[in-house]
Amino acid sequence: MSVEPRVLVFACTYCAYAAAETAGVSKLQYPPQIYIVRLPCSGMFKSYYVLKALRSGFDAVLWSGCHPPYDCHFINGNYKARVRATLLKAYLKQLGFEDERFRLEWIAAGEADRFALIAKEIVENATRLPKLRFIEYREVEVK
Amino acid sequence: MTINIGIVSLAYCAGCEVAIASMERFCGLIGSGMVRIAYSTLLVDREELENVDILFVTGSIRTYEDIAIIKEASRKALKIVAFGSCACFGGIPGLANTIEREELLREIFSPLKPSTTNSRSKLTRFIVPLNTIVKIDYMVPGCPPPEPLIETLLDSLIYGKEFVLPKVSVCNECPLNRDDKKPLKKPRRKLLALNDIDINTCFLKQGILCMGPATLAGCKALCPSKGAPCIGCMGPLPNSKDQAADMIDALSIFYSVEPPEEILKAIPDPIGLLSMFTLPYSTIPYHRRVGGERIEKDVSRD
Repeated sequence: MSVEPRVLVFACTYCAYAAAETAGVSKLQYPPQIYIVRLPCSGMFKSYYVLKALRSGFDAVLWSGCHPPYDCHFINGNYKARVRATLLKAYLKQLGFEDERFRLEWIAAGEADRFALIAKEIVENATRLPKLRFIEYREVEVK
Repeated sequence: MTINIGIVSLAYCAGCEVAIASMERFCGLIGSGMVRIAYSTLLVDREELENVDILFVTGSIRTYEDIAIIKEASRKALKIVAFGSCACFGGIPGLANTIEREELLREIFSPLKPSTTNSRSKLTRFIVPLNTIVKIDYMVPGCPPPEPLIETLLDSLIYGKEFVLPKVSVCNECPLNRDDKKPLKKPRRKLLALNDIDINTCFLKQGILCMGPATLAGCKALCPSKGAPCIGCMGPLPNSKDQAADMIDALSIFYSVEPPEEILKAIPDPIGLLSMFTLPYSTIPYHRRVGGERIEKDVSRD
């Protein structure tokens, strides 16, 4: 059974994913609607992942990485993610998506309560948004 | 043996036809009788499309008439070539996917009275690339397609050599110097080559938007080697569909700006600059308003 809305969370191994794990260990509650994808670094998060996620039925996407300036395990991955997210937000805005659909947050490994809070917030925001619908290419042939 | 070529033009600017007609090699082939243009509204005087060996399709699909034309023509051809970025990816007309068709017509034709005879063909809801309507055998991107690529295509049609698109980006062919590996702090908004730039150094290193990293090779870096930044007409790389997403990833490595909002000063119009030719081909090919949000309303009106 699927739960609505669905939120895809990209988390970097060293900070955000560790925070999610800490949240689980310390029995903090966060909504079941979030699906976590673990990647090595926030510099790894590609813009294509967000577009693909929105297209294939996720209601919102969260990128979470280490705090700038010095937390990143790979020195400057979070700087790259930051510039990328700024451009991607502008791109999505031009395509008519609401600002709440995509969010970038910094979560350190110890901030389990912050992870739970952000997860709650983003699911709450996504519940208020209308469901995304896309028509396929072949439907253009129907007048 | 003569190879019959038909050229079907949809919503087009005639650039692709001129590109092929101005090629010395192509004219030589016509002169020697190897190739015959059986149908083209622009190049030859022929009323109807007969059965042809190769069908070149140029221009993007904008009206329902275009869809009917291309479906009819595809039955009369053995092989179909999507010629030019418009047919391959939707092209520059594809940027109209960010605007609803009613709004589009209102914007352009509002002072004029609509035709009462109903002979005007209706615009499609959004522009689609050619391969979603008919099955295509070759894809020749470019605006217009670069000469080396057309030559390879002609070789494959006449001598049966295999036609493959390059698998690398424009940067692989680009002669400009990009030894400096440091990311840039200050991007600036300059699209065209101006006086204060160094034409021997990579444009991205100088803070000018160049689509090279996310664009397919094949043009031998025509624009960058002549002092103008690449605008991405060759479309995305083979393992990707989203030129804009690729370019956003590349820009985040080239520009390390502080604060990050500064980057929007250099790229104020992400769709228009990063997916100028490939919006209908990408993962989210239209503005949300155009595709999806008003389906029921649209159906009832039609």
